[in-house]
Amino acid sequence: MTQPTDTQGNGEQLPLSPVVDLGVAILFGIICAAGWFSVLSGKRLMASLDSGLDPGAAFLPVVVLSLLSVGATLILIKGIYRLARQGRGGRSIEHGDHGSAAALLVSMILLGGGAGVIGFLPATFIFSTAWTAWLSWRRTGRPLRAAMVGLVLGAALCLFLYVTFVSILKVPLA
Amino acid sequence: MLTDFLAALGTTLLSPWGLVLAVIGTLLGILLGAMPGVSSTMALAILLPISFGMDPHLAILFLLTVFVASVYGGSVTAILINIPGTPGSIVTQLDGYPMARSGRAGQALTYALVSSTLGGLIGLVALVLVAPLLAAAAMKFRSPEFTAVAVFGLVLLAYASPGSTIRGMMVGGFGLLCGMVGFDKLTDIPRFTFDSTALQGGIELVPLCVGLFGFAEVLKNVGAAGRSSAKGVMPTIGKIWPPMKELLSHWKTMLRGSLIGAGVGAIPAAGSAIAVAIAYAQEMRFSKRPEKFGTGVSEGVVAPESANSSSIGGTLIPMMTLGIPGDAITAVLMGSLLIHGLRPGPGLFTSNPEFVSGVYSSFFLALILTLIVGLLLMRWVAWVTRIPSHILMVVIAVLCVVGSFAIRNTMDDVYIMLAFGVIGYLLNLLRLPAAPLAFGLILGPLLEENLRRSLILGRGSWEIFIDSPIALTLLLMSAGAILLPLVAPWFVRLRNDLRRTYR
Repeated sequence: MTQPTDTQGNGEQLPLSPVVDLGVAILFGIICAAGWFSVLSGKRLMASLDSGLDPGAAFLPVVVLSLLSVGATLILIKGIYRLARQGRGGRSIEHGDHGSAAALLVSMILLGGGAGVIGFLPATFIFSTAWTAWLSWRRTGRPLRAAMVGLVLGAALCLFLYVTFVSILKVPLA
Repeated sequence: MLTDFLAALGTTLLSPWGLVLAVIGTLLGILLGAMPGVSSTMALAILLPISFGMDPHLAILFLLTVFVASVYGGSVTAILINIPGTPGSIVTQLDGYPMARSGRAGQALTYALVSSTLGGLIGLVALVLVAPLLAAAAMKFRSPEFTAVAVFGLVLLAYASPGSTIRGMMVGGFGLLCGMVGFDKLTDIPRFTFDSTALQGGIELVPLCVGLFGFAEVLKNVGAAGRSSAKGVMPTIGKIWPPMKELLSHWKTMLRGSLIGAGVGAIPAAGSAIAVAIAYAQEMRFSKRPEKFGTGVSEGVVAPESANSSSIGGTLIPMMTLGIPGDAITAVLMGSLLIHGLRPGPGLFTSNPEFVSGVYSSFFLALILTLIVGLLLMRWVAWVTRIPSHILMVVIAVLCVVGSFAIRNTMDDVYIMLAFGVIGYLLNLLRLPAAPLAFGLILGPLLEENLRRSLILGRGSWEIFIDSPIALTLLLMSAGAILLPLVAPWFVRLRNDLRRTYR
């Protein structure tokens, strides 16, 4: 398991691959597109730019979006230029098990939706039991033991949540 | 000053709830910090919701004990299984792990614990001495100065982030945009809400931090957690106490490391990782046996551990006095204060001096309790490093959901947390730092409010920033920090050309 740290990439000396540049440019391109759409479609927001001494509610969003757009464009140009000249060499996009991450994300969204239907604690029990059992089975290859581990952890976690959050902190989870 | 500190300490010690919470916080901090894969930031982020219902004094006491104890917990994994639990313990493993392999794991942990405590105390002294002076100076600040402080903080925080400064600043810019989501405070005009009611209330710092530092880590590690891995052999703890003479002989090393830690930690975003690296390098320079470093010498544990712990006090200085988080962990801590209606900054020292004294006494208590609990539970804490990562991942994922829900009892915050978890995952894939996003969210409102107020005061003229020497200096320093990475390669090339020419 990789270690989470508050910083990343220390000690890596190789230059970044142009693929990373393109990825960064696309990410910020999407952010800028969404941002510009929201700002430009807000008539009251844009009108606030002409509101006397106050530079207006749109002032800083426009400044920040402009800078981000320039930055994203420059990174995109740099990425294309480097890709054409030197190919894909260098440190590329971080590897990861994207399938498991996507499955976890979807199940977390389902947990949120399911909490509204069957209640938070039952939904959490199903979520934690299923995930623990699946991960345990992948690690050990022993399905019965994995199911037992899942059930025990699911029950223990729900008990902890009930005692800590529902009984003591009065968070309406139940 | 001392009277207020002692009074606050006495109040905490005489409050049974306060003591119980402090002990629980210390235990949880050490245990979570010692779990492979749980950083201090993650520990604080997932335990933050527990503090919501508490009195602000108790909340900060609980969180500071978790913070301080998790820093020591991070060193446990570094020493016993060669995996740094926190960025600050990266250097500790260089000599800590070889010490453990040679049968001196207990002694390495005691060195770490004692030097952490002493380092933390020196960091606390730095905080107590410097913070009021800086806060008094900051009381003279008006809107132009605060605008410049926010710009400077944001640039510096992005500058110190790993990787490209410009990219760090772009992530910070995205954080600024996130801080603008919701209704504008001056005009009540909605911004970046996309007609969604979930976004009209703005983005809270806690779901952002929980998503970015908690859930994103789970997404990153869940695949690997499901793979069978070879079980590492944990070294035996052995004797806990090193010879007292040897322990005491390291006082100069502890002092040097602590001073470096407090000084570096006080620079916004410099963080503990830089502090420990400098402390280790300095200790090698002062040592009579530098060639032995990396083979299991005790100075190699003492120097970085004292710097690591004293940097906590340092990082609290800009947070408490200027409202600028020193690093990602203090950003999470700041989120807790904001939830309790306490805005860190110079005003806190005049409007709520008892709270400031409470922070000092809580920090002191956290250090002492970490020493006591750490020594008492040393042999048992070592077992925590064996908890399977897949169980941890599931528990942390559920706590991320509960923590986000508990802020306002709404699922909207859970979905915001999930969104920032995905953003954190993408930032990691693209090798971008995540922390500037949180810094942008914190500093965004401070920047916008003061920028607009300054321009109103200056009747629309930007000269108001030139007329203030402090604002001008800070803005010039910010410009320098932005330009430096752009012009530095050019200067290096020019220098190399000149060398070749005159050789």
